[in-house]
Amino acid sequence: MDYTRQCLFIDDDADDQDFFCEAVKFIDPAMECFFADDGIQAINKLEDNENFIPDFIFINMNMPRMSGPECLARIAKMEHLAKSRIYMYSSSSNDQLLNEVRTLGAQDLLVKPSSISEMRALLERILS
Amino acid sequence: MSRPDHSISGTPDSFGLQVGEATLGPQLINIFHQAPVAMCVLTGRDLVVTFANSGILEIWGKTSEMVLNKPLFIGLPEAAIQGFKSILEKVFTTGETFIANEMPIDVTTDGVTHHRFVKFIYQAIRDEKENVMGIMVIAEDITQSVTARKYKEANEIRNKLAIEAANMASFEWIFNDSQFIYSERLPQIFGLDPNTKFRQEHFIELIHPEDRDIRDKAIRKAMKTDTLFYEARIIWPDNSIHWIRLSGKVERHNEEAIKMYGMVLDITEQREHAALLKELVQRRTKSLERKNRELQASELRFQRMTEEVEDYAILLLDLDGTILNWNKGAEKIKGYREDEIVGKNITEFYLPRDRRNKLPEKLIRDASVKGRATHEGERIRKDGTVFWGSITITAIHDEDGEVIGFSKVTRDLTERKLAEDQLRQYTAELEFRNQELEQFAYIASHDLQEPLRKIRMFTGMLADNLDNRELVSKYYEKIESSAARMSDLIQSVLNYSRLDKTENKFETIDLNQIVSHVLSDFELLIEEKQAVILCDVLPVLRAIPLQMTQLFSNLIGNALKFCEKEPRITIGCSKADAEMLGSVSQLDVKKEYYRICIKDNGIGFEQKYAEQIFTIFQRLNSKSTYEGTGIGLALCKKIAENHRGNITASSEPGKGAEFCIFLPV
Repeated sequence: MDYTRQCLFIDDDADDQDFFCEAVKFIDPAMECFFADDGIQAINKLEDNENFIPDFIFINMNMPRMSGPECLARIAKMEHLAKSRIYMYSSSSNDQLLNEVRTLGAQDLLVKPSSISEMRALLERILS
Repeated sequence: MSRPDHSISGTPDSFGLQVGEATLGPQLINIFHQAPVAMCVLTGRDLVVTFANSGILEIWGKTSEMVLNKPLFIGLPEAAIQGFKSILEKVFTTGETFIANEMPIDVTTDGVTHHRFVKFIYQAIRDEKENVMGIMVIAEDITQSVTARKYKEANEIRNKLAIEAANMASFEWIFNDSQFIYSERLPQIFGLDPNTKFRQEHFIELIHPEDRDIRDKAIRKAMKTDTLFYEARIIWPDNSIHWIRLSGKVERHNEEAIKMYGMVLDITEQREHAALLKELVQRRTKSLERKNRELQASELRFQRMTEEVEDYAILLLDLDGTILNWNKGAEKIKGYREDEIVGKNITEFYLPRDRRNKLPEKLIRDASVKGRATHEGERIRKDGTVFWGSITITAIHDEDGEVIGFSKVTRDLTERKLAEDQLRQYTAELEFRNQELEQFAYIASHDLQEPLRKIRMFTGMLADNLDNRELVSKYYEKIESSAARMSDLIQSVLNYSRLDKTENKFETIDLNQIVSHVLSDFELLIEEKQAVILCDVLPVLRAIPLQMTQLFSNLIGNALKFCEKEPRITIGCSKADAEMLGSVSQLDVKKEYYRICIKDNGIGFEQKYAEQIFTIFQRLNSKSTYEGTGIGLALCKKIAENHRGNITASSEPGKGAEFCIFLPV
């Protein structure tokens, strides 16, 4: 690929941001990681710069101020992000949630991995 | 010769008497008139009354004008139908004399009929040719003696009948010649053959030795009073004992007792009957007495049975519900003594509203109709206190199936009811707590997953970077931190679950001291942040010390934590007014509460989350910015509720927050 891929990681937990970052670097060192600490920050970031079109957007389910699903809904509506693949992730999943987030516009609902290797495997699948 | 005023007819000649000396004629008539017998002469076939003296006229009840010179049956028509006519005609025809010793004759005088008895001779009178030419009647009115005799005869017959009917024997003992006369019943009475020659001595011999002096006494008395009476036993030849009653009279002639006569009656049967009757009566009486005793004993037993029972009031009621008896249980349950309540109606025990609704009457009616009525409800005791009673009223019937009263059994179920109520409440509470526990067990385990996950991640990363001391150090910290978080979380959860334990005892505590301790715990933080805390005088109240500490610790801690600038915290206390109480849930507007408010100048929050923040694990801020397990405020709420109070929050983002605790006075 001759352009740098970008991903946006929306999570209020700094550690989770780190885990993500580490895993991404491992899979695709060239990928640029962007972070937002909550939904509001993320939307602001996205709305402020229409040229910022992340290839992948990961949204945490449980967040203060703006919940994950709400954030997802808002982002999914942004037309310029139509090509972005949005993923929700949470500590647990079930069919109902899965359907919900899919309806809202996400590709999938991911379960937070418990180890580095799991993380890498997950991202490998998605980012490739 | 002057003739007396009698009726004669004709001259002596026309008489046709064959009298020897004619000179006797008028004198004879005179004699006949004066004869002490009734005489009349009937002449000719027509029986004309040619002579009738006063005697006959008296018998006939007629005057001479009525009968003289008339045919007999004209003047005495009533005689015609009484048989006289045929007799007279026969005498006339046959010339035979007719004699009647006693003949009834009814004569009518002035419309009154007299029944008479006459004795008479009808003699034919012949003429010189021996032909019957008339009849001479000589009569005597024997009415009196006949009547007397007939009366006596009737009496005798009656007596005889009475005697026979009464099985009496009669006797007569003539003193001077020791004659003893008796009816044949007498020997029979003594068990002897009827033909036995019964002697007066038999009386003495056959009387029971023990009763001889009864007879002697009676005889002596009879000699004085002329009345004989005694009852004594006699012994029959077969040695059987019989009873006789002897009654009689002593007859005197010129003061001298000449005879004794009387009657003997066998009264054995009577006596036996009497004895039997007496025995029967005795037996009956004994039986009745025994039955009475049994009844009394049974009543006593019943009384004892019901009286001593303490757990149930057992009463007897009449048809109107009036109380007829009382027992210990009734006294215990309802509080009245027997003398205070017997005679009153069961309505005494009912609440006014039940009395208005006629509940006791309805229960009695139901019992009458269905045989039994049961009810559970409030009743009043003598002292006015209310208890929860279980009542059963049962109808009592007589042999004909008619209701004659009721039995009423009451059980005091207050304790059971209380226990039931408590159990219900406890079960509800338990269910609620279970639900709560389930909920936060789920959430807790969920929330524990997170730090655990991080530990795993970091250990993974650590393993990959063992050579990088910086990274090792960094990851180590992270791991440590997460582990600590887990520990904290577990501790708070434990704390929270311990809040409801009944071991938590209320004590009288001074809140000022509690706050003072909390502030000293936060000394370092206060110093670090240069916080200023102002505190009102707080009350002394009954509370759980540890929980109060946790409460204030959490709230003051939050006030210090969620603050960007130098914290300014005020703790105020006042009494809550009714309006305020009305707006807070779970508070009783009729009670008094303290309102303790902790106001800060921190970051605040959106008022719309004011309720939500007390929900367990609800965090409004990201974890990285403000440390916290998310349990703190939920803990505060629980503590407030444990003390029958509540906690509210109000805030605006950036304008600080105020948390108000309501605690009952």
